[in-house]
Amino acid sequence: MKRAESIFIALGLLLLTSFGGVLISSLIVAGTSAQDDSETEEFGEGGFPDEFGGGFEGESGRFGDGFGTFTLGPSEPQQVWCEAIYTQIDTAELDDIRIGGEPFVTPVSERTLLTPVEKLELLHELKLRSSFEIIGAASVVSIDGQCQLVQMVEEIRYPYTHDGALVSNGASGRPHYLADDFECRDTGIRLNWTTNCEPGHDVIGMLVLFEASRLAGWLDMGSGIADQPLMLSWNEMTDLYIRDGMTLVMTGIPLTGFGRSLALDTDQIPESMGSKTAVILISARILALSDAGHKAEEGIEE
Amino acid sequence: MKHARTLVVSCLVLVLLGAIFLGASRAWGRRNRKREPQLVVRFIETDEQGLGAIEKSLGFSLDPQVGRCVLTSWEMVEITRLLRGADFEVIGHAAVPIDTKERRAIRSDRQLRYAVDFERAKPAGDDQGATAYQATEHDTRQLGFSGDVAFGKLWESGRQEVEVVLGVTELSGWKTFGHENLRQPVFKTWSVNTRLLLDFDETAAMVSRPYRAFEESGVFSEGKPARQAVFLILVSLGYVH
Repeated sequence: MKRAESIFIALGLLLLTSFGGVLISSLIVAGTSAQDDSETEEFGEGGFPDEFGGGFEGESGRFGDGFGTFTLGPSEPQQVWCEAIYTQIDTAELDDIRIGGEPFVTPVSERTLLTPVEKLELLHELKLRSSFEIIGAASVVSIDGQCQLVQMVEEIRYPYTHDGALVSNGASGRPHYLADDFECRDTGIRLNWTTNCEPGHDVIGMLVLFEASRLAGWLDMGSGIADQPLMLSWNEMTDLYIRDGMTLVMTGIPLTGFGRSLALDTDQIPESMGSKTAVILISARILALSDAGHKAEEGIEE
Repeated sequence: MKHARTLVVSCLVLVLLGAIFLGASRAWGRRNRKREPQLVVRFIETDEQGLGAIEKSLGFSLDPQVGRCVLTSWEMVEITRLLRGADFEVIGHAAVPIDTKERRAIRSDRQLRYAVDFERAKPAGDDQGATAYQATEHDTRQLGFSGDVAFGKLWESGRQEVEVVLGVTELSGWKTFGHENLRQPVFKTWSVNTRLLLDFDETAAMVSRPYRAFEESGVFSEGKPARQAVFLILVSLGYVH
């Protein structure tokens, strides 16, 4: 009997040992599947690769090397969704827009802070106007404190310097100088913003850099010099605060005379540049830690 | 005799349990080995109708002010099913294993080589003819979907920090300067640079509407009719299947 008991105990111990071993090895596997924090705090070299035009490298008209600082605190950082919508509309049509029964723009004031519902209402009203157009819009999810960049551009290359000697272009063509070097300019939209959220507060600080430019046309320089681009650009840098989930509207930035003030031949300025007003909507929302799962559970319960 | 039979049965039961446990642990190990984490990035060109179809299918807006922009794996399955439709053009799709501490590059296999420096080369014995040009220096530009991803800290909550630099570049046209040989490319580019936190099996959805100069046709998808394009960028953290 004692012998049987000892065999039974020995087998039990063997099983427990194997169970413990497997348990420990499972824990090891789980541990190695996570990355080592101390070695992964630093990201690789930042900046845009060359195929994006060198991005942050401060070439003509490009932004600097970003202005967001990246420091990992003891607690997990917050995550923020930001959206910028850059639109344009005839000034006269903007005057007719009403939100919640109230005029959007009055002679002395205009609405600058909108709830999500009011934002949708404004966009709906704007889309009903024939002159309204969305020039560019982008939304980005990012860690708080990080610099985010979205750009939608066309890169125009044009001769920057010319050879000293006129070159014949045959009987039919005009003589011209040989281009020595080419310059690159971006036309389009570039949005660059950094958020700053205080834990426990529902106010989001934002540093927004905005650049919009367009190619208005090519200027005939004559005298054998190659055509040069006529660029219309508008840059805005603003430091603002938005309540979580709200939308800030910036309007009343007239583009009238935007190109004509350049004192160039007015025939080369597109007619569409007159009497336009830019309407810019900037929205931000702090995303909860488990936004997806939490909301999904809510959906299931509903 | 009775004790001996009990002992034998006990041993058999223990051996059976041990075998089951051993098999289960091996299966668990294999499962862990198979479930290598990976980041999947998708760049989709669609229009307002396509975006509306996605939001209708999900039952909420991708604007987190009125809906949400972080999706579960089941919702991504639904979106993936929709993406096979005609309204959607998947411009770029890349899956990157994250068992690395290095920056990973996503590169398309298309490049455009163009001349950036020229010299005059008048044909011999043809003084009256037009001046010809010979390219002396070239530049190369990557076309299509490309980018870089890097992985940061894995937080205790299970969320992984990810840096994403994505872009699409296509040739928009050529501009000629004085002579047909003296031409330079015009590129259209969309790009985003951000760092975000993702839980495993989560997807962050970001919507962009491109600069209007792109709108004359499918922005990056050739052969599509003119439309108000909408870009949908999906960044998913999941496992290798």
